[in-house]
Amino acid sequence: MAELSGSGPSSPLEVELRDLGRRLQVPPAPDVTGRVRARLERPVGDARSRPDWPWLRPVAVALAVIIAVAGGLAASPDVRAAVADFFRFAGIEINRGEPPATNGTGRLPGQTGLSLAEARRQAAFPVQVPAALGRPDQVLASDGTPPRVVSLLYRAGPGRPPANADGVAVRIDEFDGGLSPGFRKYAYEAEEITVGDRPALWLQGPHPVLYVGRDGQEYLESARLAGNTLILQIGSVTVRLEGGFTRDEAVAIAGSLS
Amino acid sequence: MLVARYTAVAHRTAVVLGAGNDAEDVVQEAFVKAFRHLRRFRADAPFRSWLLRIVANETKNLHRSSRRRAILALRVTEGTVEEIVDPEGEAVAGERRDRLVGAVRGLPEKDQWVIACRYFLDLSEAETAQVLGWPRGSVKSRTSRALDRLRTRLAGLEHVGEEVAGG
Repeated sequence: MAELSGSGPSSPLEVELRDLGRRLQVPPAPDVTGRVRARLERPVGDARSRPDWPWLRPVAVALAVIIAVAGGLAASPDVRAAVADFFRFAGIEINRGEPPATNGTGRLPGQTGLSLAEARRQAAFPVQVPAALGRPDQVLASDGTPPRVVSLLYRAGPGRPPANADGVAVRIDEFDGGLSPGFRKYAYEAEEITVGDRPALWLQGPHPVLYVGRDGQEYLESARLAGNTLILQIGSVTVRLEGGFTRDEAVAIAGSLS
Repeated sequence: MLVARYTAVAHRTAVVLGAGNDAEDVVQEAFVKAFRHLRRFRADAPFRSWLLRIVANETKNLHRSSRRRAILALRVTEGTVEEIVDPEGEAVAGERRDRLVGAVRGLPEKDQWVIACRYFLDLSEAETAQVLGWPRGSVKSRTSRALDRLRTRLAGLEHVGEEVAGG
């Protein structure tokens, strides 16, 4: 594996250093939750806020979720949906428990690229495309034939949100979510909204997500941090739209699905 | 629950990288910064590396502001069970560890960083690169050079405490 090739077998000195590392005395970790929360509750732009750090690279963090989960941050008044330990919305389970490590590849089981026409031919459910974004740049079918999930990927471009680290601006996963959940998400707050007259759920900010197979099995390999996500159900099909868009932009895109 | 999980690794990182008594503040600052910058980050990435990167940078800032240079302001726990029943062996092993600590402390600062990340924190090469903000290749070459310097220092016992020349 590429990841291991750089390490090679450990020399005696390296073994000794690791042993030393295990012996280093580290005091018990403090509980900083309360103080972190107190500082975050101060208005932004407070004297303590600092200039940007050039060394930060644009990566996502589940911290909002983590701090909210651990500290029980009060939901802002306009966030209506208080989340129980978990609940299901369409074919997606929103869980408030401890998320899995999100260092998977993000790949869904059996994921393969294909044309939109081929995906539509194979899928047992109607694959919808948002007129607002046009034809997807890439189409993926996952988990069997017929595929359980069809994913539409859009790269950045005019009228589209900026791309994430993988070059994806918008990702739309569609699957028949009538029977069992296809994704499990870990988030504390979710906002109930509507797209047209359809109920939808908006998850703001990065949150861990993983794929759940037909048999309820979690695919840890698929675990990753997802960006802002809008979930809605069209017929029996669950659609999750993910991207660096605002809620209103996401609603507009979802409203153009046909 | 979860915050405890990340607090522990963040705290250990801060301590091992030399934050000393300020480790708690570093961790707190890192969480606050990570949270405040949250909305800017949309991409998929391992959360842990990013948090540890903030911790490492906060610790570096601390070094700069306090002129604290000791990466390894650390105490070593002495004695495994086997060594306690073999006091003579323990004495030898303890002496060897003291020399190793001394040798690491004498390394250039960047060497200490990379040794601390790779071995004391047991981070992979890739994660070390992310945490220190270096190219992967630099982590590799810096590690290899730091190990060579350590071997030199350990071999020349009589020179312990003396700076090894070169950068």
